[in-house]
Amino acid sequence: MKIARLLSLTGLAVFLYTPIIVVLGSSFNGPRQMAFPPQDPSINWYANFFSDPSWTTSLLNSVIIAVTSSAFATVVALVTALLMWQREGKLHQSFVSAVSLPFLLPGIVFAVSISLVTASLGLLGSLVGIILGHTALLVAIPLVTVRLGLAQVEQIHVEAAKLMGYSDRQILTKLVIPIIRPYLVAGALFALIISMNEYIIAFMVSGFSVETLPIKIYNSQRYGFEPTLSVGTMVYMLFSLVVLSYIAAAGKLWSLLGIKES
Amino acid sequence: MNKQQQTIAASYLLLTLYCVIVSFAPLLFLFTTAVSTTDPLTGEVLSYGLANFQEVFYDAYYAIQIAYTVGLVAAITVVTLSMAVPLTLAIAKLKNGARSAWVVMLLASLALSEVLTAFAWQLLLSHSSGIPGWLSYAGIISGDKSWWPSFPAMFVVLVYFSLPIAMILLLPAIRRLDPFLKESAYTMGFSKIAVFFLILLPSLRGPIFQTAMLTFLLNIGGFVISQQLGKPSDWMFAVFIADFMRTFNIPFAVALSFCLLVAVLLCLAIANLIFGRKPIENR
Repeated sequence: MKIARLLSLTGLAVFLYTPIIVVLGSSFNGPRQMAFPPQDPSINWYANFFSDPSWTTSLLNSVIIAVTSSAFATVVALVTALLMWQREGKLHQSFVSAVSLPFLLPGIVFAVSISLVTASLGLLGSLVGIILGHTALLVAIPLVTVRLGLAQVEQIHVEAAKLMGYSDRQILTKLVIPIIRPYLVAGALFALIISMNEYIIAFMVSGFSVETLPIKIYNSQRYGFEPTLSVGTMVYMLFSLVVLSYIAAAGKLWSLLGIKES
Repeated sequence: MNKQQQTIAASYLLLTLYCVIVSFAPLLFLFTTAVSTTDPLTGEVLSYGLANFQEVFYDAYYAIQIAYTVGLVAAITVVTLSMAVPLTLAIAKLKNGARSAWVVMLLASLALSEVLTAFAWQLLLSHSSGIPGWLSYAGIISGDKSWWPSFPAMFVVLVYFSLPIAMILLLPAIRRLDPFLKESAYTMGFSKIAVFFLILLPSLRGPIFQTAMLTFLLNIGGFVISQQLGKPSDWMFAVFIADFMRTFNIPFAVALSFCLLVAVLLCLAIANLIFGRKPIENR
């Protein structure tokens, strides 16, 4: 049985990581064409990626959109979660459902509908429009993590703080926020990764005038493959790995996934 | 009203405004645009009616495409879940360190977007940089053709895209399973296969259903993998919507989106009626 488990997990690792290894290898290919194993290995395509303004601009756009929208999404999620915290009732639950709705709609349907909203607001083809779309999509992520964090706040501690004369504001800033901070940060970071990678909303709202890195990679494929595309993919992979490693190192990965460790 | 009550009231007001802009306005715009006829040059609304839907259902083409997409995504969901449940069980049995490593590996691979996943698989299935070339070099196959675009390529990549997400969603539920349930079954003489089908799967019915719903929703709204890895005859419904948006036939694209949304809601409602009963342990 152990051999079957080992074989199935080895198969899974090969299935999940072979495409990534091929992309990594091809990013070091010397000539312009794609090849694996790489021929005449070189880091020229990395230099090319970071010196080509069309690639660096799209990377910068992605970073601006991801940082801003994940920050906004986290604020909306925090306000929603705190307002709903310790409050029962269908009205409160419907707020949670309403802010999570964009995440639960089929991707293309929400992308089309938010593009109509941004067009009516005059934001089509702007970074602000994409930030609005990403914020709407992402709120559900920090909302889940912040609610997990709030579930860790013991009622007995809140009562003790009240007995000690703490005001509601002091309870929030000195008790609740410190407990939920790791969950808040993790939610924001997950949202950051998803925003960096998101394509469909960005494509619908960008109106051909703003390029994020996924849009740039998608558009570049129309003109044929070259190793710079692999470099772009590896930049993303590295970014995601760094962020996930930080979350894992902060020690909250398991509770964020809803797993109690033995 | 004291200052704190004012803050709470203001927060509710802002949150309501936010919900109106990002949750209700998009759906309202979707509906009103779907039922409007606009001047193609100025974009001005000329009339309201069902003309766009009449165009969609002029013949059976788009209805068949929706049915094909729903069937394809359902098949992807079933295959993904069939792989995810046993593999997640295998990971859940590992020691802490190995299990942590697997969770990070799963999270890292699911961080790849549709665009990057499609690109990575295009390379892997290309003759110049991937499996066909390696097999050809080893003399196992002949010819210099890439394995994409094709239906199998598209199907495998859609399963690849869904698998880590399904496993991450299933892992907490599998970790929470009561180990004594299995031990008691073994003591009663059940085989490992019987325990899997008669004890584990029924116990995980709720989480499996929820994961299936999310996998279905994730795939039915995507178009990049389908467009990049499949042939035009294999494309999913979202590709048509994206193409009509690209060519600025917006009311028609919106009508198609509306039809897709209705089809998805119907599928979810039917699935909920058939499979969505409460899990055994909660009865």
